Amino acid sequence: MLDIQVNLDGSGAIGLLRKLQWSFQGRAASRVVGEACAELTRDHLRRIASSRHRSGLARNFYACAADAVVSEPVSHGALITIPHTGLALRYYGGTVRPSGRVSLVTGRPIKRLAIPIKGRGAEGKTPGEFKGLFVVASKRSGKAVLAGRGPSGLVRALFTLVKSSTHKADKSVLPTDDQYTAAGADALDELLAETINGF
Amino acid sequence: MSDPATTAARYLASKKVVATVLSSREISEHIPRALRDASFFSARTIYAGHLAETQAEITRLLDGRAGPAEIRTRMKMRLEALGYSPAPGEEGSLTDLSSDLRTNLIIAMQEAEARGYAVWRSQQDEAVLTVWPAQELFRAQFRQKPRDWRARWNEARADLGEGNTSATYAETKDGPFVALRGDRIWRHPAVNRFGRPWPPFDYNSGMRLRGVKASQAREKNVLKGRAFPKPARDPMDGSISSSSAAGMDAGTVHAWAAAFGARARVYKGRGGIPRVAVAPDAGAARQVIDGASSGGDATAAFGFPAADALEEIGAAIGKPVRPETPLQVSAADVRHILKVHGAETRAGQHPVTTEDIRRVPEIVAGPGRWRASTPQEKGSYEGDAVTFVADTGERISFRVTAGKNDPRITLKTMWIEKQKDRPAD
Repeated sequence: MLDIQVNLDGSGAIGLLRKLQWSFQGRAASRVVGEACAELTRDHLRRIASSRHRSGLARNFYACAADAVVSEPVSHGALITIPHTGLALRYYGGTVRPSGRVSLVTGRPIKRLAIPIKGRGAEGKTPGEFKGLFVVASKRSGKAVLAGRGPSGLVRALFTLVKSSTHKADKSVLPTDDQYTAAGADALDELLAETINGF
Repeated sequence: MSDPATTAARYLASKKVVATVLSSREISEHIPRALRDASFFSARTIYAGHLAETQAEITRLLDGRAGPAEIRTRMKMRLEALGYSPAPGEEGSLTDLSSDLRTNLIIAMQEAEARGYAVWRSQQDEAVLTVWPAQELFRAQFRQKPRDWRARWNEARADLGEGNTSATYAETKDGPFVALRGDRIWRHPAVNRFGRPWPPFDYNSGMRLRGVKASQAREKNVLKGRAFPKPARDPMDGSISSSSAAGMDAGTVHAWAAAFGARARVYKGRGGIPRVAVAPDAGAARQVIDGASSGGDATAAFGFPAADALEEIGAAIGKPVRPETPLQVSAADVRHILKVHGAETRAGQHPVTTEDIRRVPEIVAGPGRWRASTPQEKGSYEGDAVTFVADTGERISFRVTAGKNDPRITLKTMWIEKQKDRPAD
């Protein structure tokens, strides 16, 4: 789950106008800024989806993340929530380790992560979806893979078994602060214009 | 299932699991929309336990606490443990319940529908609809074989007729597909297979919606003057949903409704046309009861009284009560009950708690009897009122509005008598 708190502020005359608008249109301003930032986030994730999604995978990670974006007003701002497993890991980075919970396949606590090997038909899948997998380990390097036999009987490595997996933070999965500020300000201008036009 | 955290997860968790032998086509032809929308089902899937676990797992996914691959693995393993095997020749196809194609479709569709609802709901706000009064259907995800949305859109537009829709004419395969939010084109069957105002509008569709600002909507002649759309009614607001069952197989409709117990009622509407009414799940009433102390005037239906209870209520007030009349609770009534009877110190009475109010549907379905409310129970209320006197000591009074328009039986007050002090009522 990834949460983004948007607090709109500014300096000078524009900042003063924004503050006044916030005072007079508080709840409405929060809703509008929230929706503008949510829409910006959706557009951004969809753009990433079209460039980063690998064909052949059933699930488009970033497109699904875009569908998950919702906004809600909070006091003096808005909260954008993206309840999508894996997105926070990409944004903040971090190290993933086995949870130790019981494996669906072996019935024993999980001690290794199974990372699908590209181009082997394992991407987007778990070892539980394959029949008859076995571990092949190298005594010398200590490296291990989960392998299976193809229809012709050939052994094929499908997953690399690792103790942990470290991911660098990738701030590009979300728009920049400046983009959020611009989207929020633009929406506020539209709200102000429509409000004034109504008088 | 732990309580879902997000709007999308709550939406999915509120659905009732229904096992069925019907195909997708049979479901769309013979199950009324109100029932379909409130159900978690998969065509030709009879394993209710498997469906319930799948629903719980996708609910976790919506809360960001599970991944789709893990859910798919569990679905396949469960089906295998149940002894399921696809029919010969159907292995790997959409009709094979354990295939990648089928399991992925179930997860993707349930996820997209619930997400679509959450986004749609967050946009039902006057200020949001002022800034973005219109929306555009656009291709958000690439598809190998895209549907002909231009033909579908223009067909719906023509069917609605010039002057009855704000929809633009789609000049190319990419549209523009723009109309005011709330325009009937968004639910038109040519555009929208499911009839819900949020996407997806068809199976595995890569089309999504995005807002169109007021200034742009005017340029496209979609918004005229200040005719901004109003926020739409939230289908999760705790009220009853109903839809026509005309032309549908009565036995099939009744069998599906039976899975909902007191939450669904099949009845004859105006002109004797069969209809189905569906009450929200217990979570809606619980939310009203638990949230009453923080104010508001929310209302939610508990469900429908049994036929014999309706007869007793009718006899008590001296007029018939329509079968689709729900029992409902409002936050104001809960506040009244807790204020007047929540700190009860009178001899012979127990203080009433929110937990007691939550049990109202269970209490009125149990042993006891309905009678007309006494003047003391009615208080200043001048309409029809009935009281359920439970053998277990609870007395629950209701206001009855039993006419054709919006009939309802609304909780008025409640108190609990100790066994030894209970009068022979």
